[in-house]
Order: sequence, then structure tokens, then C-alpha cells
Amino acid sequence: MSDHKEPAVQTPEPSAGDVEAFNKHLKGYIKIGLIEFVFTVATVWISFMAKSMGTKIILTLLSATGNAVLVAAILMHLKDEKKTIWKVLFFTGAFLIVLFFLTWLARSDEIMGALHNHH
Amino acid sequence: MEIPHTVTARPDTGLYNAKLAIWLFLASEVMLFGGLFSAYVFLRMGADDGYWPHGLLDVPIGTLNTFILVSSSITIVLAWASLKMRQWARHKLYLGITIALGVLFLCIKLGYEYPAKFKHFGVFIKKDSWSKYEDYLGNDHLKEAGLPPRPEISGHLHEVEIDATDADRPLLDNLIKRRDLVVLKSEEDGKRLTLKVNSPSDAEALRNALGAITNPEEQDPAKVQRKEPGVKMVAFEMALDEVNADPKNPKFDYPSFILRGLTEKTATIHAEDVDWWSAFYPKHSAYFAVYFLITGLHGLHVLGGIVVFTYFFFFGHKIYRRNPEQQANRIEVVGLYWHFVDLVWIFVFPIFYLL
Repeated sequence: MSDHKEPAVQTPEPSAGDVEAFNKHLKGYIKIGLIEFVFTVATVWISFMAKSMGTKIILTLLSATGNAVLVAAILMHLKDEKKTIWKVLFFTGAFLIVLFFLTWLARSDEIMGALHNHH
Repeated sequence: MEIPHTVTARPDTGLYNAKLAIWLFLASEVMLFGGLFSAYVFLRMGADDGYWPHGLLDVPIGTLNTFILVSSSITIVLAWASLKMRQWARHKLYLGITIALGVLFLCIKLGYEYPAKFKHFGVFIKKDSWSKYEDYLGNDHLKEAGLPPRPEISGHLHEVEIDATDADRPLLDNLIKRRDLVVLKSEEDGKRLTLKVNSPSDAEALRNALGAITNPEEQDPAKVQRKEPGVKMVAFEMALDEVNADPKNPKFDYPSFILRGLTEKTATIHAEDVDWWSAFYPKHSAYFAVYFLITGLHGLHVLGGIVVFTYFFFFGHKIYRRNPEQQANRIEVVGLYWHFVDLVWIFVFPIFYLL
């Protein structure tokens, strides 16, 4: 293995404007974190407030989805992301839906006894 | 040789290579976890009435772990932003906090949540014996309230009563000694024993390690086969969970935010009335099987993220000195992975802890 030192690459230092923009972003990230805390508390609260199981499942998962959208859109920067990534995610989403329906279809072609899954 | 497009975007994709690669990897991860969530939905919808447990997990602890992961998602994005602003010391601080939060998440999971489950014990009562255990199951009350039945009695296992044959006795004595079990009572010339056990795993060992040898002519101990179940279980004595100690109390009809505690009330359950018994292991039920699978796989992902962050914490400065933008990109890519791990947890938490 060679022992030579690779030369440092000159990259421009951030300008005052960049720093200001970043500081604004930082505050934004912290705000998002706080909103996610609120979403988490709301998810827990909803799950204990809703009495019917159907309502409980829908509302709790909606609240969790809101939380997940924040992570994906803001923290993972998806809202400003390139089309290439959106295309990848679109196909992933489509296959995911098909995947869920595959197991759904299995319910109509049930192996006897397989659903009595308590043991 | 310089690796192309570690910093600059490729003209055709508009992205640096690692970024496209991590998104493709995350797409495959979506399919992996998607398949498991789909299995969860399938198993849950197919479970018999009352056989999908509710309220067995600690919601405050799950909520705390959600806060921890959400916080770590924020600190890692701050670590990346600090690199973009060429603030190495600040970056290290945020990266260190992210690692600490990841470790804390795993400590809670592996040090508290999993062990508590492994100590807990449950017996599923045969349907035709439910009435014998009405005082612990409260199914008449649940029926009146229009709620699904409660087939399981759970708590902490204290004693087991077993029948052992003379042939098994040396093996049994050895097991008793090895596991530090206490013989409380010996009846019928030592064929029926009451043993004080330390945890459900002792009962599992009794069931699995003993039993008639089906190939007695075999000389190689490794090839000796034993018939399951081992010793015959006669009865279990257990301290009851609150919900089984007072099953007709309406406050136990639904799961609560604070995990139901253990009482001092004990019950004796006869093995002939038991459909299935186990600690809260994956084999306890489809619920725990899928719970341990998904949370275990998620935990491995957390561990993977911690390992990479730790590497960058100690060795990232070399690349940073050479090309700060490249190090920022590396952190961005692992950060995307970390956010995904957070995102998976955001769904794991409600489906297992709340629903």
C-alpha cells in the first residue's frame, strides 16, 4: 500500500449568506423535531382515546404517517429531491402495494389451520 | 485513482453516486420491511378472536424510545449541516450525541424490554376449560361487555409440578443441580416432583431436555434422540398479572398506558387444561414472533448505523481534511439511512405498542 499523502481538495468556504441560510435551516430542523414529538404524543393519545378498533387503527396510523412524512420530506430532503429519486420511490411504492395485496390474496387461498396462529 | 462523482453530481442522474446508491438501497429496505409488515397484517387479520394480544408492551418505554430516535434524527441532520458550514468540532458533538442516542435506544431494548419479556410467562387455556378458570379469565364479563375472550393467563412462573420416570431421574437430577432448581415436594416415590423454578426457561428446559430416548441403541450422545415433550408437566403455579388477578374489573377491559403490573395473587393451572404455554418468546404467539422479528431486525439496523457513525467519529477527519465536501456527503448518505431507520420505528411503535 502506498504511503503518499493525497493532496487536499480546495472547496470554497461557506459565505456569510450561506451561514445565515444554514442557521435558518438549523432552526427549522429543531422545529421539525419538536413537531415530531407532538405527533408522537398525539399518536399515543389517539390510540387510547378511540374506542372502536377500526377508528383507532385508522387515526393512529394517520398520525404516525404524518410523523413519517415529516421525516421523509424535511429531514431526508425529499421535497427538494431530484426526479431520479422520485422515480425510484414511485416504483418502490407501487411494488409495495402489490406486495401487500399478495398476502391479502393468500387469505382467500388459506391453508387449513394456518390461521389459527396462537400456537 | 480517484473515484468519480463522490462529490460532484453525475450529469445523467443529477446526483453524486453514493446518494443514488443509498436511495436504491433504501428502496430495497422498504420492500424488506414492507414484506414483514404485510406478514404482520396477514397474521393479525387471521388470528382467532382474543388470540392477538393487546397491552403486553410497555407504552411509556416505547414512547421514550420514539423520542430518542426522533432526537437522533435531528442531531444527525445537524451534524451534516455543521460539516457543510465547516464546523468540525460542532459536527463531532452532534455525531457523538447521535451515537449516544442510538446506543441508549439499544440499551433500553436489549437491557430492559426484551429481558422483561423473557421472564414473563403465559398459559393458553383450552377452550373447553375456560369455565374452570373463569376467576382468572373473566370471559363471562367480557362476553357481556361485547369484547373478545381472554384465553391466556399470564404472570411469573414460580413452581412446576412434574411426573418423571425412573429412567429419566439421573438426567433430571443433573438438570435440577445445573439450573439451581429447588425440590419443594417429592411424592409417589419421587416420581412426582414440585420444583421451584427461577424463570420460564427452567420449565422449557424440563420440557425439552428430558423425555424417553427413542433410539436407545445409539452410543453417540450427540445422536441420541429424545421424544418430546420431556417430563410430563402436571401443573404450574404462577403469580398473576393484574388483569388475571381481577379479570372482571372494567379497567382491565382495554390496554392501559402504564403496563399492567404483577400481583402477589397466585394460581395453579393444571397442564391438562392448557392448550399451550411459553415465556414471552417468539414461539409464544404469532404476535411475539413477528414482534421479535421486526424489532430485532430494526435493532440490527440501529446497530449498523451506530457502527458507521462511530467509524466516522474516529476516522472521519482524514477525509474531511482532504475534501470536506466529500465527508459531508458521506454523513448525508448514512444520515439518510438513519432517517429511514427512524421512519421504520415510527410505524413499528404504533402497530406493536398501541394497536
